Amino acid sequence: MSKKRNLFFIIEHLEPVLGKWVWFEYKHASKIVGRENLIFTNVKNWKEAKKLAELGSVFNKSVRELPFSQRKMIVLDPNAKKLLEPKDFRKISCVVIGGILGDHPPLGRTKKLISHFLPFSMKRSLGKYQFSIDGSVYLAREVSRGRKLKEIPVKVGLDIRVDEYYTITLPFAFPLVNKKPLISKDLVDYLKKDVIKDEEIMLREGRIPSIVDDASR
Amino acid sequence: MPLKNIFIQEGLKRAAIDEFLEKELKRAGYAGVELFKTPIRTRVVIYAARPGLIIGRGGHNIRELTQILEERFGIENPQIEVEEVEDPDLSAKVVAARIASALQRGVHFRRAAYFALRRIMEAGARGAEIIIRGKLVSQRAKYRKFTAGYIAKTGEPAERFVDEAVTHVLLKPGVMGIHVKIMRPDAELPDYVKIKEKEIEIKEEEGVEEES
Repeated sequence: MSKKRNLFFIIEHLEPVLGKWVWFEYKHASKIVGRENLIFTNVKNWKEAKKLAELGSVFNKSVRELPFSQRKMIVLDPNAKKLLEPKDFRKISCVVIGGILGDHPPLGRTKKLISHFLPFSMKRSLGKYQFSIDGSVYLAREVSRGRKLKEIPVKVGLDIRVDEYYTITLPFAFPLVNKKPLISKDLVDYLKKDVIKDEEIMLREGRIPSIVDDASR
Repeated sequence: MPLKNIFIQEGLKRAAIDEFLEKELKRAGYAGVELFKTPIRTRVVIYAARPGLIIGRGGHNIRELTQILEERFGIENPQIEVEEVEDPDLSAKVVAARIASALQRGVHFRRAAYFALRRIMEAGARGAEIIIRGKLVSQRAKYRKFTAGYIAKTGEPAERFVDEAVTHVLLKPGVMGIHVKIMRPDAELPDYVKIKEKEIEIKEEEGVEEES
């Protein structure tokens, strides 16, 4: 009898700091696939690593330096030519996702910073749209369970109404679960209330506070 | 030269002049330019919130500008006229430039946009929309949209009644784009039905007379 293999989701952390936004996306990803299946790599700051250990296993080295077999690895790269399919998961043990908060239009950082260094891995795309980190994790898990990408509905662009006059638009794609876009509730609350504080610090000091700095304050 | 190329070149020249003036006359609240070609000269009408800054002391700035337009853009005998914008709060270019300058001074974009939105609506606009786009480090790229009133997005009303302007501002964390749309107060939409009240009054009076 064949034993069911575990599929690991590796998030290569590439943001300079662990800000609240990326934290909420990681937290939601951990909720989707479970703490035991999630691995964070390239976390250089030990305080941030300690915090991330609440959500999954943490390594300070990059995925390219760790002893994961590249031939059993799928890298989710928007620049990949082929779409992710359920059959791709036959011999695969891990999926690598870029821990990047994207630009619009995308800069192609996954290709430059991850795919380029993993030449023997399988590169697959999630379609023409750019997804959030938790959204990519959800899509990869669904495809690994046998659903095809085109069967999963997505919503492109999400409006978050803050008050009567102010709306924040996220120009990315979000998978629909029960006809609702998959986004962390914490993140929506953060965008409605607290993001202004972080942006004021960013505009004043040129840096976004890390979630670890925030805790120590 | 084929006829269509002449039109394309004219359009390009106008766009280049507009871009140049927008950059040079930012402080004067530049709101647009119009070029009228006559047999002997080219009339260049510059609209601005503060015309005094364009003219300069004793017309010094305007003479300099005339020289640049003639030499760099090849305009024959340019004659610059400066006109004050009636209501700067209803000019998308002026509002966008004001928001950009507020952001450069360190005002938070939310505060700057709310302030601009309130002033536009107080000036009598039917509607306004301010979109600030950009990415801060460790934040996802997003649009911040501030809207008030009614604004036509498509069709003829959007072309005729909506004044639109885009400007960019370089801040410490990166470039921000500011997009302003203002729907003019006098905008009359095609589905608007105007009822002539006076005629009804006359008919009533006639009716009264007949009865008596």
